[in-house]
Amino acid sequence: MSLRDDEPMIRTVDLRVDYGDMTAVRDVSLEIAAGQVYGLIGPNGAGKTSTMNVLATLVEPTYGEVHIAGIDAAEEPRAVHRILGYMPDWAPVYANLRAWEFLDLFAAAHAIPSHRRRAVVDDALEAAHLTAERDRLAGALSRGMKQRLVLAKCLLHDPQVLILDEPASGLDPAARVELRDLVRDLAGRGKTVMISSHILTELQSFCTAIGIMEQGRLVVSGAIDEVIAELTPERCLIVELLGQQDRARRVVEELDAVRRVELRGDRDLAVIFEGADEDLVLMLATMVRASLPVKSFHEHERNVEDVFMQRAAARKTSGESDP
Amino acid sequence: MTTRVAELLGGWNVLRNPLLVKSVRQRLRVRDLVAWCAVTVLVTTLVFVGTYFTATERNLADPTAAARAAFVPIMFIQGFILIFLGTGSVASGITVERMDGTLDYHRMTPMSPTAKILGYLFGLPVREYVMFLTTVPFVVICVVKGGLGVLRVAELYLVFFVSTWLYHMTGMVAGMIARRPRRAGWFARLMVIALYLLFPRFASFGFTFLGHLTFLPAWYAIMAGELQLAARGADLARYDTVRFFTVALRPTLYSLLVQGGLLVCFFSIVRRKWLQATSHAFSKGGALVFHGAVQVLVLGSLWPFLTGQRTIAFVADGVVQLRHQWAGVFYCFFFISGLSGLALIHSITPSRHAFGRGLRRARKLGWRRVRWSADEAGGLFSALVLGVITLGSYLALVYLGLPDDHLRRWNFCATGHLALVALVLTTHHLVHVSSALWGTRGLMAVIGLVWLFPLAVALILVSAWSAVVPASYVATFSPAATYLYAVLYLFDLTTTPEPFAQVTGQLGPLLMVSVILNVAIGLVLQVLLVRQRQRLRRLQRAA
Repeated sequence: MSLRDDEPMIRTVDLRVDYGDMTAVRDVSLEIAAGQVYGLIGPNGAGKTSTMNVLATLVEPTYGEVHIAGIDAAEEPRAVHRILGYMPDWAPVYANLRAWEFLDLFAAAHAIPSHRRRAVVDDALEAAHLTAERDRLAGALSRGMKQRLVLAKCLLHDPQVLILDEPASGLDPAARVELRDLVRDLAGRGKTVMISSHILTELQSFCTAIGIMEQGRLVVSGAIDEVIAELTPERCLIVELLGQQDRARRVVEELDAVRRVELRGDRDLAVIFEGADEDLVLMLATMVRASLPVKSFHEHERNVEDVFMQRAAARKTSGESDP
Repeated sequence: MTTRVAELLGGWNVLRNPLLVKSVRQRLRVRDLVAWCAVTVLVTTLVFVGTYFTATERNLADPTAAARAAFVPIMFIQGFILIFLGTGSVASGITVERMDGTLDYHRMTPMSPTAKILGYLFGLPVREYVMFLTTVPFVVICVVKGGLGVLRVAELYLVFFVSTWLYHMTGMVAGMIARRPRRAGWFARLMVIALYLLFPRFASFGFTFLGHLTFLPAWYAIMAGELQLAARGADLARYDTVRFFTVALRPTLYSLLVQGGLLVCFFSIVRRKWLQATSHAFSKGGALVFHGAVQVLVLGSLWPFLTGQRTIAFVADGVVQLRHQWAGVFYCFFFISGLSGLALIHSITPSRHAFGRGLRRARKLGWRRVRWSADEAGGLFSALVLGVITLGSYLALVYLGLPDDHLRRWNFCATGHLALVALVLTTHHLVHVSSALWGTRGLMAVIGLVWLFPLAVALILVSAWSAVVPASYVATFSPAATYLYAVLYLFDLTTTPEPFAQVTGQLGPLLMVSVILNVAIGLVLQVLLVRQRQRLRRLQRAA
């Protein structure tokens, strides 16, 4: 499968999904470049799983196009299946098959020759840290192990694209770290990964791009820094003082770039401002000239979680203000 | 092209099918297998020994006859294992996978749909196949000791296996099309009861093909001679040959054709469901073809009786009696065709949501309308074409087959014929609009309230107050009554027995009332449907 350089690995055009009267996905157009790890975030019911199901060819869209590696998913679904691995949010397994038998089934279904199958299965088990569980019945595995077994299933045919729907749900912290490392490893091997998760801070640690969905719409999509910058143009500066909190507040508020100043505890300030790094330098110089007892001065890095929470707060406000 | 052919052929290599291997690993673990096989061998041994030695030791039969007699209960055990237990395994297996989501994994593998269907068809009942194998030695003993013809037995097992696959496929269809997977088990049982217990009853009315949905006609045809059933007084004449139109066929071949045809139909339904879970069971074109095929089978089955090549078992002397019987046959014809049409119309009519989705898609893509054959297309045209096919079949029966003195022809009874045409079309239309407006529940409600409730009221009127005439008018809502009036009218049954004799003079008005009622109800529902669809269009434009 050869993909033109300028062609995204995943592309949807005006994708819409309706279930009865409910519209799950509204005209979503999305592009994910090859090798990207794309995090899809949004509240429950935002349309993330429906979008992923359409990409995985499990749900037929009302309309819209889906192209995976340049292949039209509606025209050639089986060609898409060859290059795509999909892990649903509730990862079921065959309880009465052993872990290796479960993987062997799907290796055979993906037409991996029998002489190579054992090695492929063992590699997948190792990648999912399940080698020790090779001969255990899948039904006897813990929730986290089952999740990893299904992830291992997705890796069997060495897909170019992985779609992982809430892979970390139900996992303990150690398992989550392992999963994160695994996804990083996959990204390092050039796979294009689309992942949805509620654990937003973890998403930021390995995603190169994110998209935020709300009420079926893709509100924003792009590289993490760009999305954060777009949704939170204001920067936040934390100023720790040894005293004179009120005077410091008055001094800082007079600067042009400063939008507002919030008190943090008895001594510190949170300064919300819109400006460049030069404005930061000016602010620090002003505080020093005013002989304020500044103990430390640093910018609070906005992360995906901040953005998400800010959007959630905005949604709540707009919802409350609705008649 | 070559790749597609190779993939299709690859699907038939069942022994290397990953889904079969999966089922072998799941259902043939040694401990379970030994237990199941031990029980099977034990029961079969008891039955064989019991039958064979009781007959020989008590001098009821010689060893050859005893071995032949033992073959019957062993085959019954085999039928129980493969047909009863096997169908349950297929229906429950596919349902469980649909419910827990593992079926979706297989939707996403590049195996061809054919390979997936075959993998499940032979994989899910794999334990039953092994249990069946443990009974084979007993069959061999019966064949050898009983001197049964090997070719006859092979022919018997050919039909037996095709029947088995048909039952298994029924389970798979039920598992794949039931809207709520938890109800698939009940749905499968209903399908089995209807297809293999209820419909075969109509074989005695001349609908021979329905009798061949089961294994029994072939069994009697093949084994009657071997087991000397005729000598024991069994009436086996009707199993000698089957007449289809003017052709005489071996019952085995006829069974294979009928069951094979249904198997292909089920296969195409499951294939559609594999390709897209939300697809209708039948495409609109597929429904027309299926209904046409049913009509050909009906015509082919009734033809020999109509043309006097064969006589129906219950036939009596005299034209008047024959008319009564033919009226009964035609009433059954409308029941069978109506049931087929009703099921197909309901299957191909899109729900309100599906229709809305089609509108939205057409608007987005700049189409003037959705293609008629798409699942989201309205379906009125297809519903009416199904009615026309039924009418075509009816007219072919009446004008090409039935002797002149049995039915009032067009020139004597144009009103009756027109009423029948109107009834068929309005009934089809009513099923279509009810399904389109309110889905399955709405259709059930319409059947219950408009068709069955007035019928029940009419029965009470007759049984409590002997008010036959008022009851007949109340019953005009129901096709069960209106088709009866039409048949009575067209066959001019002046000697109709009670209680119909009281209404023979009123059949014309009754028919007119029923047509007017059906048209009126259909029009009201059609207006509701049009308004519903206009509202959908407005909402979409507004959105």
